[in-house]
Amino acid sequence: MRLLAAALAGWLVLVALAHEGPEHEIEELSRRMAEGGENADLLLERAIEYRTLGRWAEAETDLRRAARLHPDDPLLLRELAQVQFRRGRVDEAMSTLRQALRRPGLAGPERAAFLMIRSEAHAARRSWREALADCDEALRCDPSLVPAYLERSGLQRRLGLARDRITGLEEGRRRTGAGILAVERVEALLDDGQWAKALGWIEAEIRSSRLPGTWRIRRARALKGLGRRAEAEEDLRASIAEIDRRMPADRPEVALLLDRALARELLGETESALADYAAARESGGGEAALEGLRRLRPSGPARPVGRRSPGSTRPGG
Amino acid sequence: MRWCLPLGARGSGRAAISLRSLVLLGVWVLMDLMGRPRLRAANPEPPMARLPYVQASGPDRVHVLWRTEGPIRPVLRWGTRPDRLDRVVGKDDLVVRASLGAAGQAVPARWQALRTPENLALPKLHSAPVGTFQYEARIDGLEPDAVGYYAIFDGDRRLTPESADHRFRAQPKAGTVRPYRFWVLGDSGTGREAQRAVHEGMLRWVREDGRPLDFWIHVGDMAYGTGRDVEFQSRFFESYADTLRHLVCWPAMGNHEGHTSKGSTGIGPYYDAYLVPTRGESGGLASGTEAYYSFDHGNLHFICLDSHDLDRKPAGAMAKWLKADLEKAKADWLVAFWHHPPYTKGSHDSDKEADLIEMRHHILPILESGGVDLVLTGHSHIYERSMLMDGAYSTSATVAENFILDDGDGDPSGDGPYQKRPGLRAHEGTVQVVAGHSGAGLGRVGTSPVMRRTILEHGSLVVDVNGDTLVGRMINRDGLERDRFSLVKREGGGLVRRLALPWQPPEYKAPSKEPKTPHPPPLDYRVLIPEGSTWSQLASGHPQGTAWTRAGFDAAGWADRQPPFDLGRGRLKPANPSSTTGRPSLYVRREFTVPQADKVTELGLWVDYADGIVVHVNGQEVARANVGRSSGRNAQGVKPREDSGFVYLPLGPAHRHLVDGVNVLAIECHAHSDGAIDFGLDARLWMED
Repeated sequence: MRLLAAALAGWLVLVALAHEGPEHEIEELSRRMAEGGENADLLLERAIEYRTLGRWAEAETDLRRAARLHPDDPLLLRELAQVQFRRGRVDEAMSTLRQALRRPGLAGPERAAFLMIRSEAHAARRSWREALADCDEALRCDPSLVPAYLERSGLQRRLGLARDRITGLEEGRRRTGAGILAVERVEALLDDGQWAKALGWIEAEIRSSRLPGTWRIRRARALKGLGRRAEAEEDLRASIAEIDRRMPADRPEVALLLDRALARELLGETESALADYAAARESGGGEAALEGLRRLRPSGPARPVGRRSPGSTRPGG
Repeated sequence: MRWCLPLGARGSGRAAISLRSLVLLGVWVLMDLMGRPRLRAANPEPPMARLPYVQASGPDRVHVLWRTEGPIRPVLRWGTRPDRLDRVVGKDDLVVRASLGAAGQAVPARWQALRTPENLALPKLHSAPVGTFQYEARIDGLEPDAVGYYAIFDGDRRLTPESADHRFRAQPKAGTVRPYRFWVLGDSGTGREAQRAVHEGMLRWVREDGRPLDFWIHVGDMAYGTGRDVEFQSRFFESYADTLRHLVCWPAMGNHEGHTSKGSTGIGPYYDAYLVPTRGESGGLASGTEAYYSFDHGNLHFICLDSHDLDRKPAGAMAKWLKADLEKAKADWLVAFWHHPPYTKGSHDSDKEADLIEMRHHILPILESGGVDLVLTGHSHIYERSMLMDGAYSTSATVAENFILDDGDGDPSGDGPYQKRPGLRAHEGTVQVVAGHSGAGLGRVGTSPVMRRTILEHGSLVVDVNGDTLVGRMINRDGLERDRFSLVKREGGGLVRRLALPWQPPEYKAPSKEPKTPHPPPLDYRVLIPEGSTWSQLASGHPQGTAWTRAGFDAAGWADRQPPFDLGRGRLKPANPSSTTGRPSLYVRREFTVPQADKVTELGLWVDYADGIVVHVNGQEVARANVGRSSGRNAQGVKPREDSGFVYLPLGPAHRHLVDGVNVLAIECHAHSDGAIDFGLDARLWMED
């Protein structure tokens, strides 16, 4: 990888000083390859430019050719696997990842990066346990990898491994200090029904937040769980009001949509919650939006194929 | 020919001064008389390999980093006066990293003894020249706003000069309202003249304005072409050494650094170079990663994102952290920065490129619903500054209609400042600034309809915040203000109205053909093969194979000659066509020495040639000009050279092929036709230093 990176450096000086966007660079790289022949460096660079323009098929073609020239280069294989995965070619991505992970020297954070791509690929196939195993191994390779803690938490939730999830997030928070893992830990406590314990954390967060809407939804979940429904409803309504003030006019903001959907769901306003989940799904809300739709419309078209995952059933309270 | 004389003559190859360089020197002297600050490329003197610079400041701490060739007994002394450095950073507050060679990497003999178990257990520097040690000293227990002075020692031996320039200032306490000033630049790291001029222009303007900077922000592409450690050294640390030693630079990673540094692993020269807060040490929510982070400076909150190689989607870790950070931010002003601009028609097009589109689709809605005031980006080599805008996240082609809240110019002395209400409020308007114009070659494909100012000129941005007023100024390479905008937050301001038909910039008409500009040489270089050197030359016939381009070639039968090489026809001058027979070619080769190959950033030829040349280093082709295909006797498609005289020709990936010690430069030169009357070669080899 070092060799490849170093190789790119020299000729890129030329490009860097007279930069004219990806189309121009593709043209320039193609010209160079036509004149001087293909090499892995130029193919990789052209693939990156194709990727920038969303020309995934051409990017994959270049990366395949580059990988044939440098079959052991982890950078190339990683780029190739990512492009294949992005194109929905999960089998091909898996094959590329297997090839890379067989390399004996691949260790530490670099190995972790491959494992996280494979975990994502397993998850795309709904092979949750395999995905979890890769997350676990990634964290053994790189215990500071914040996204891996988050990903693992999501998988453990699906698999109903509530205690492992809480412990894992606590460990991640201790190792990395990442605030987002503390947030996720509160979610894990709520999902596990540990209302009182979660409430202590939530109160502190609400006091220190400028925009407490999301935290008030979490508090509402805890309060509902503790049977304090009136206070929960007050929190939910206040949260929806805050979200409405912040929601962009043109293109809804996904995180806010998901928050509002959940608040409406907890209030029992099923139709409006469904509308928000559907809008969030349209805007790239991913699994969280899909799960909301599944919960509220179990017999509808969004119901997942296959078995129901244990952790996907309950927003709380 | 030397272009860098005024920046400090070092190296034997710089002894010869041509008429042209005398002229340049004269211009520089004049500039100095005019009061222009004179920056020198600050190549450190051994054992220093990277001069000290301050990093990751908070209200109670600051870090000082530096590098040496080989280990020292590191001591950082500091105090409240430059002449009384009465405190010492303890060993527990000093981190040491080292580059001692990876498996399979050649380790120069002089560093072999450093590969002790103790040294090999140190945290690694990635891709730094072997033998490099980096020291990171944390000064803590400071009061907010405390000013201190520091010096680096090797045991008792002082390595930094006695100077009040080696100083630091702790961050103000979060929420403190007083005037603040910061500098913003992007896409600067070329090591070329434009980069130096932009830095100088800013310093000059700031000095004349009378208020110093508090810190600076780099929005990425600080070390072309691939962010290698040696490129960081020569194109960032040496270029800005004077500013780095006392002002914190808060960085965002650009795509060029992204070639060698990865946000997903936190590994690479970019991550070695910078220390940023990951645990909320400088305010904001702990990110747990150096790829993205936040910090407070007085009543401002700053957010830095990695737009290059991390998941930008709402469900990704970065977006989740961003949302959580915004929920907590309580400053009066919110500034976000990263590399890839959500709106641009400079050298990049934000309607076509995925990275830019995704930042606009996924990240901007989160920021704008969190009340962001100012977004600073680069990547596109141009200065673009928007009107006060909100909510323009469209995919196909960005439009301004209904997304502009104030279509004035934002200039306090023009249409007046943009108005908002106090505090951080969702969707009351953001100003977008693309500041990718700080050194790299400029480019433009059109005009973004949301931009109020589009200026194709090198420069940078200086931002002042004073209580309820923010003023941004584009300062060009000559130190002149070229744009000014202001945001004012007062009660009663910020009546949000979306303009159905806002002001529109004039349509951009691209010039029919851009004039071809010569490639600029590096500012600071060492001459490896000087003028007047003796080369081996073959002027009759062609050599067999490619052995002549490599070390160990027996050059018996080749003549020893000094350039210019011209087959006796008069170098590059018209001669009697009847005297030529056949298409002339000539071959020259010469050995040169590189002490440590992994320190080389760039090799280049200062060359006058006609018509076409192919250049090899240690048997590998590294550059060609005016030769279509193939080489040697089979060279095809040789074109006449359109320009004339000496030009700078970077030798592509030449440094990849270099070895410690003796190397070979080989050049073949071909005339474009049998009856060529304009043929010859003159060359010197430079190494960026």
